[in-house]
Amino acid sequence: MLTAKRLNKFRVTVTGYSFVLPAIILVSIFLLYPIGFVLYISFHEWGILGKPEFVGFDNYVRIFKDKNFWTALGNTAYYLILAVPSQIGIGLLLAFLVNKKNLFARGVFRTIFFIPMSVSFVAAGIIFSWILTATPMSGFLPNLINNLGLQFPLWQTTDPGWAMVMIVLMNTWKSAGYCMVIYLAGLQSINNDYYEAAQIDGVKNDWQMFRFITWPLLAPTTFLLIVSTTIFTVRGFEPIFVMTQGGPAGATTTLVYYIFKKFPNLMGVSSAAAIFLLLAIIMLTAVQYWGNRHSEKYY
Amino acid sequence: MKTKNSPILLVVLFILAVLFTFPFVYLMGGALKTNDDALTKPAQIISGSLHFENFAAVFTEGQIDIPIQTFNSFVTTFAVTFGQILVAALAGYAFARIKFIGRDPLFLIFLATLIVPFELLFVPLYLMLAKWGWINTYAALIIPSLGNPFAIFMFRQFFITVPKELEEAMLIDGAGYLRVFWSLMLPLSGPPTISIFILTWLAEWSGLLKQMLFTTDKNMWTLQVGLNFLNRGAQVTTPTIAYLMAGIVLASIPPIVMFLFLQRRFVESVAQTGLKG
Repeated sequence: MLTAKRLNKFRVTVTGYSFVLPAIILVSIFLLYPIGFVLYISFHEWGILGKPEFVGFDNYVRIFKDKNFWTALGNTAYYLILAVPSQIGIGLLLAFLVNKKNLFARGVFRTIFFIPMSVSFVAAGIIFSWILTATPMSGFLPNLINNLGLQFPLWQTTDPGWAMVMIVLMNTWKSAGYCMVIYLAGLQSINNDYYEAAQIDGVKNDWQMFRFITWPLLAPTTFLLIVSTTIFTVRGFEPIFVMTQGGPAGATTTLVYYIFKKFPNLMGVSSAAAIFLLLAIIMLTAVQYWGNRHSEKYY
Repeated sequence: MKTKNSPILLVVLFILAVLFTFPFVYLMGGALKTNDDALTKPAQIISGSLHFENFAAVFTEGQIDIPIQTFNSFVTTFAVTFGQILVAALAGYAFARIKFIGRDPLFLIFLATLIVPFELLFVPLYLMLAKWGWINTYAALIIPSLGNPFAIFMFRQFFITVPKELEEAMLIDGAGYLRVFWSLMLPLSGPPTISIFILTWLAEWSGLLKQMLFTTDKNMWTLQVGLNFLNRGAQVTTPTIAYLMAGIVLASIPPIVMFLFLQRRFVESVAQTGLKG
């Protein structure tokens, strides 16, 4: 009996692994092994044509002494601070606006807000570059602003601080609809009884309803959106590559872009920066989960 | 909440809808300008005369080969999407339903890799593929992308919610796990399949970094690499901004059509599978 049971367990294990085998092979070769390989390269001096030469922690010392590296870290933080709240905030606003059951042309509005997601970053980046271009010719928006007597920032040349804002505008247009859809799912999972109970308890206006019922109940959704859009924003390469190529004067060179620019001549430096960013992402995610540890799931 | 449509709400919605639609309008306008107008008058939404011939010119006069690139985009996008779904459904089912030894630690390893983006791994991947002679092959664009931990996670979360009774009945009747998977679980797994289909399809169709790094031969480029080249090349040599815009319109039609067809089911599946976590 015991041996039969053990035999069965063995058979189940073989079956289980045969189901998982393709995934194990693919993830091992194309995810786990490259992680180890990046670590290996980060301890070597390696150009694309040469042979790897062990240099210990030199590449790490090099990035920590590199002013551009710290600028890139700051730019990444700047990008995150602008991009994450704007897409989540606008996503929430949109979700609220289109959530009403009897809204006029509800499906059309939803589609309008959601569909930019299907456009590639290459396409969106090029379109926005031309709408927003300030030099040498004025694009649509700069022209409009300048006609109002204001000065649209010359984000491609003398106002580098504004370049990131333009990238974030494009990114928000493309990503807010996704946040909207996730929030809609969250809103629909809120039991209507809460609103009725709140009405009986004397909550009067829509704002109070939002402040005391909807917002706290959406907290798990908001949290998961923060975690996922943070990672998605940190890894953003295409928006920057297409719109600014890291410029002007390195103002939009984020860490991912820094890693890209060091390839293929300084692969060791590039890999050291990649390891740094990986650790930073892990810590950031851990901090986010830690900050959320007291919140409860309400539904 | 309140049920009537307040005028303020409708006005806000309308303004937002105009803002969100504007880039598409501007794109269409740009695609119909002359190349000169597109370059020198970017403030205009639309110019006096409409140049529909730009769409034909993209095919004939561009410095890039649109038909080949469209073909490459379709091949790699569909191959990665279907491959990912198959691999992830198999693994997700085993992680959810088959109690094999070492399952939970293995799943944790898979989960942990979720946090590592491709943008951090392209250097080693490039070196590996170059060593194998895979640069400029479909294999380089397809095979490294087939194992997606996120898709595996989604399928697992879904299969966990499927009631056990039917499966147990089939197993007692002597069916193997593969049969249960094929004739019971796979037909049920519409929601995660739709979600992964849309997300992976869009990511592969729109991707630039991987496609740009792993191909050097113009005949292996995808549409996004071609558009990016037209964008860069156009600024330094002969500016063909109107052609570029026309190319973007053409390249955006497949994902937009796919999206319009599937968005309703995508929204449903987000609500069901809890894409939000």
